[in-house]
Amino acid sequence: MNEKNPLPVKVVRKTLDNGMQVILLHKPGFVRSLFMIGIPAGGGNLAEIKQGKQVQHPSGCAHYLEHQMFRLNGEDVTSVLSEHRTQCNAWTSLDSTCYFVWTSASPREPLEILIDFVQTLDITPETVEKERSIILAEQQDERQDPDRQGVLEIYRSLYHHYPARNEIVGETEDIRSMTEQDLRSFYDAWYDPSRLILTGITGEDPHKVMHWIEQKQKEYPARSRDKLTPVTTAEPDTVHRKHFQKQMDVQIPLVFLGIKLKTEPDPQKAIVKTAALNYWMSSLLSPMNQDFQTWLDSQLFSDLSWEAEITPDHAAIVIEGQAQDPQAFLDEMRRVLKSRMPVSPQTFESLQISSKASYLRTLEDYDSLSEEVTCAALKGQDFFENSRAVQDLTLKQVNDFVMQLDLQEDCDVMILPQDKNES
Amino acid sequence: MEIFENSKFLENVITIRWSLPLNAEDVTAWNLLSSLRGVRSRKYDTLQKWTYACTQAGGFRSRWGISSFGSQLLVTFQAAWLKEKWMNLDHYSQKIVDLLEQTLNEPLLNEDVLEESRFLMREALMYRQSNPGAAAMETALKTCQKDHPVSVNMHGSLEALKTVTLKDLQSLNGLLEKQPCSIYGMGEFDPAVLKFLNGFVQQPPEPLSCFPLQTQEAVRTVIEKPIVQSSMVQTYQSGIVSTDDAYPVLQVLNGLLGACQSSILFDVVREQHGCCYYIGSFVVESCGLLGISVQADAGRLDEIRRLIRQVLEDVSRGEFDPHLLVLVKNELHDQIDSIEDSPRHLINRQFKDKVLQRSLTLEQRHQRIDNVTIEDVKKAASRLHLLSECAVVQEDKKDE
Repeated sequence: MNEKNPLPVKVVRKTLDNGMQVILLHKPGFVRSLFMIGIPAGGGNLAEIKQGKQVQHPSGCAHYLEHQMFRLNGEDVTSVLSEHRTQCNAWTSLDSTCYFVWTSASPREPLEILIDFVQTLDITPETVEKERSIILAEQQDERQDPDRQGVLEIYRSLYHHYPARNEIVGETEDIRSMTEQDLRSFYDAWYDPSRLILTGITGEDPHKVMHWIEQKQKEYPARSRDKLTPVTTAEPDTVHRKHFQKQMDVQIPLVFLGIKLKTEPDPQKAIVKTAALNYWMSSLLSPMNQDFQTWLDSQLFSDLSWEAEITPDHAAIVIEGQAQDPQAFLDEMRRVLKSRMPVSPQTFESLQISSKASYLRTLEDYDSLSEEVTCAALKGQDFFENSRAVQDLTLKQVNDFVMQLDLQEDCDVMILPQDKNES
Repeated sequence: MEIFENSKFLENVITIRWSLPLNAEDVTAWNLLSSLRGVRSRKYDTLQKWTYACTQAGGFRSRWGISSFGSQLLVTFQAAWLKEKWMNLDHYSQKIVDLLEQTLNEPLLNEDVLEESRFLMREALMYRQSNPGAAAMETALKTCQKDHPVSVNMHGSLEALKTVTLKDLQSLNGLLEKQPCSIYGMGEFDPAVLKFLNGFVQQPPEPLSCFPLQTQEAVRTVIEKPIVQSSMVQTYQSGIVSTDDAYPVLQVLNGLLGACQSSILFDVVREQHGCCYYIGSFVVESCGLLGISVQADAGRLDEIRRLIRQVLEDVSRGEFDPHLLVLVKNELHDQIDSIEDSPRHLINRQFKDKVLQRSLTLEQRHQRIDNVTIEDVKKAASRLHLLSECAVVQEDKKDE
């Protein structure tokens, strides 16, 4: 961080013989250990080219497989981990799947069990069948959530093809017809050790832990280092649909404004552009903007959030608000974006301090830190370098970037209360 | 004031609590007061000024909140800021003291701020009402025993919100300012911060007054809504409260039923019968309430009710894999040890020990869990008595 106080986390990295990348973060004095294995494929990976051939997967395959992975030698691995005072969990996102274990006890056995269960596929037609109704119930839980539905619908409005427009859990018919072979095919493609990232945060000596991992990984040589190229369809610059409305059991409308931006093919430049965009968005849509008070005084919204990202394959701003008058909310958000109000020096300085504070807090939070480090590595990036790049941004960079933003392509989604006459 | 010097964490954390009698009629007003104390002060009289001041002080974070604890209302203020060595900002300690002074001693209470807070709270309550899980939980707790502190909805109500006046808030604020508080801190504190905190009239937290729930004929509520997935919450009286020596038995029973990763309800209802994605259990320690919460299709709720009954009977007869008890205890042991890595949890543990009038070593905390036997768990399970159930179900799919 500075000369007097080096980074409070020591980082040890190694690429193993089987191609697995290991990143260990040492937290001296901490009793907890958390280990995460990341797979560079998630709900958006529906087809890839392998050795010149296209391999297709049903929607929801990555997520269904995640549910099935917690088995080892015919046993539920959660009980085995509990023997070692260890808990486990996993999640599937659009482009990655991550499994993790955490414990305050000796971490060697849990770490080895994590490696074993992620790097061993132990499924049968019976286990696949047993999981089906659970996943269908999870799908209904998600469909019940108006926020989640609103986000999904705004992605469906923004994108013609980009997979964020699909439910990660999968379509009902695909879940109903998922087979053991579907899951094996996905596993064989993406779970090779050479494609995996193993991140650990621990109070233990990281060199000792690295040695454990190296020894254990000798049991799992790389099976295939073939390049896998996800099959994607070029995304037009235009939005897929301009307006969309849906009724749900909400009392106050949820409103989403999406703006489709230009992608950035260079991943490093994309990181910097995303940071600049978020600085600008924070200056516009947080209380640092004096309009914010006017918005509250006029009861324009009671809740406001946004996400903004520029990557090589997609780029968008999504603003979400809880607003009694959805059209007034949309009009004002469009107005404020199109005003391109530059970030002031005072706001920029505050945002820089906030950014640094947020980075430091991430270093203290095992869950966030493991996720950030693993997800960056899965994209071939380094969380710490990315953070540095964000903190090195200048005010001029941010404001120059804002001036050249193309904000023309936008769309909106409203989640509205049920029409009592119709229901 | 209890300050724990600690160099392990990047942040300094303080928690200040005021304990007052819990009065259901005042809960909405206390919520309003908490929300408006956290966003402005006399010096920083706009959201913009307050936000700038917090970011310029290294991303200073603070939060006001209320909760119930037995028959007490706890008003809690928590603040966290990164240690000075990490931020390298000029006059850092003065900025921290200034923000603490403003939010704690110089609240801005006027009609404009009240109306803004009223609007935000009204919409938050309306949003909450749309959530089937929250609605099921609130109704199940409300109906588990009339006039018991656990039946008070600590989020407040839309009806009461309409009638709260500025005078009400000023009156509650006056109460708060006269009331001694308890202060806990963890980190490395600048003398100026300690001097400021020492200026408060303090007293140790009041011992917890537990009110065990009484048995009643179970109150069942069904709410139909135009939703796609149903939620159900059941509440049970256990007869064990957190001041009892037997409290670890309730912790273990809760873990065994649904709060730990290797739990029987999860295994039977989700894994064996595929009835749902989520099922879990929880306890309200000051009154010995054990709750079970599930999200599922309405068409499966009867099957789930039957399975829950069966699980409770099996546990009360000791008809479960005894090794599960070991696994649950392991998870509880891990939770006890993990607290050492969180300044907030460490502070909360100190506070809880004080109100429970106990002083336990780490070893004794583990021992209390280890001492729980299968016989203890059987006995506790056999005494569970259903108090209330609320199911928020899909319209046209009501199964009763």
